[in-house]
Amino acid sequence: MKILTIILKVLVFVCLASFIFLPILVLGFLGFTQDWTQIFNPSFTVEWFLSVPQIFSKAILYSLILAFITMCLTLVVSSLVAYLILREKITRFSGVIDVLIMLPLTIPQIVLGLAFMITFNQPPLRLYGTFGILILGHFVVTMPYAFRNIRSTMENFDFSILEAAICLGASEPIALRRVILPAIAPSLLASSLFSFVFSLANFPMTYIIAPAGIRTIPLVLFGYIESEIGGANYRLAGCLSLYLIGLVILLSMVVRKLTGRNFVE
Amino acid sequence: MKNKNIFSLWSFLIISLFTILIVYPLFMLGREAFTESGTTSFTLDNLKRLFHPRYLKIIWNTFYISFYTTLLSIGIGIPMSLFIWKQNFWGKDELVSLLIIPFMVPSYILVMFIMVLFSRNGIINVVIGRFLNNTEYILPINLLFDLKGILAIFLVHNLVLVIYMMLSFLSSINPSYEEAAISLGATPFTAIRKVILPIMNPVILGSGMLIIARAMSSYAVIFLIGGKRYKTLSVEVVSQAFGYLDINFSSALAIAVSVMTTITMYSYINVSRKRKAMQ
Repeated sequence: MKILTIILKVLVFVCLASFIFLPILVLGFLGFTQDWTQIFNPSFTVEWFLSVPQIFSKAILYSLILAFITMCLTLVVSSLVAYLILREKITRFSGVIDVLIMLPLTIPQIVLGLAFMITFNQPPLRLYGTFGILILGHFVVTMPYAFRNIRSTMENFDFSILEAAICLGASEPIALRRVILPAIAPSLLASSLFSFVFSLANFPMTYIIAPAGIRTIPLVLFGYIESEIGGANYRLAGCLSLYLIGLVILLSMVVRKLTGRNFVE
Repeated sequence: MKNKNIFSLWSFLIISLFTILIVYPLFMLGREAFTESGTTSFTLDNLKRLFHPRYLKIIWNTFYISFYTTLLSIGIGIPMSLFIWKQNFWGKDELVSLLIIPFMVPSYILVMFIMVLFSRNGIINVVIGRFLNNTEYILPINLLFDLKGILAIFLVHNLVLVIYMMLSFLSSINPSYEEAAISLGATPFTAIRKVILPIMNPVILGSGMLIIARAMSSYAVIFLIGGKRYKTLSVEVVSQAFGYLDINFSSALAIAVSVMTTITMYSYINVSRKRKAMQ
């Protein structure tokens, strides 16, 4: 019985460890060798890895700009809504707002993208083919996560210092700006990094609504995987994916360190 | 009084923002589904076409893939999380917290991982071929263009999901339940089967619902690995819209898949709400 338990422990340990590290090891092997099919005498090189920022400079730039704008938008809107709801400025419609914000979670992103494409291709709001529709799309799909996190950050915040400031004669806007904002800003920023990561890695929504000239990192990767299926040369794609994974994992570790919350819910 | 007006203006602004961005597009999608293609006249043909055997097969595939994904992830995830919960081993906490890494790797990148490792001339086949001294012969391990590959990738993400959900629930269980069962003469195994598993039922149900919804709405993995053989509703939505340029029928398919995911997601939310109320 005892030996069986030890064997099981070792087995579970090995399973978990390989489960965690194998994908990254394999992609690293793919990115850092001249020819990944030569497993037994590999010749390592960093040439591909170093050339990624140059070759994909546009895609990286687009992705980072889009993720940054999405992060700022979701941060502003969700802290505003969460503040209004928590301070009971909105009482009657708070349930409706909650359902509206959470709605994109229940609908596949492919469907939302299609709906966006149909709607914003017509006269009242003709945005299809511009960078604007991409921002709106990412805003809608990252909003549920951002809102939930920012709201729970705010719920844990002690708003009695706001009342103290008002009692001492500050008007509410001044109290908010001078007292609450400096105290809550770091944790709000940390929670909004969630939206940065989600926007950075988002594929389905981007795939449907992205304008012809704008290709983010996930789109470039998808194009590589789709066209090279069965081929042998994914080295560049492997390196690019290492950059993306590295950034995403780094940011998610930072978020967990700062807020104590996981991406998994 | 003035204050109140300003803030009902706020709620009006917020609701209209999200109505324009979410409800209005979905309404337009629904309108397309009931419109004959090329005209503006009302029709039910697009919905009737969903019941053509070809599309029934696709709906069946959607259920099939999500059902198997759920069964596999829960079937492996529950024993694994129970084992992790009960046993202490070296590096346990670190490993559990590092499980976030495979979860954060986007699924289309995992497709590349499967290609390099498990395709016909992938690393595993080459290694086996070398050990058998038989490099000419291509060995039969091949997850590409196959249901197995899709399931493998879904398993990576959903297993992490199940283990995290189970562990966070198990850590909240009162240990005296199990101790009581054991002191009344049950073996540890029976205690888990008869006492712990019944308490876990809502979590198991909840995570199952979540996995079903995630599998149904997934697009990239099924498109890349399934090729033409395994089409699900999400894949067919895109191929109707961009391949056949039939926006109307694609909208009908989109509505079918969103109804399915919305039902599962709402039952997930209900289940988890009930669970929170119970605790």
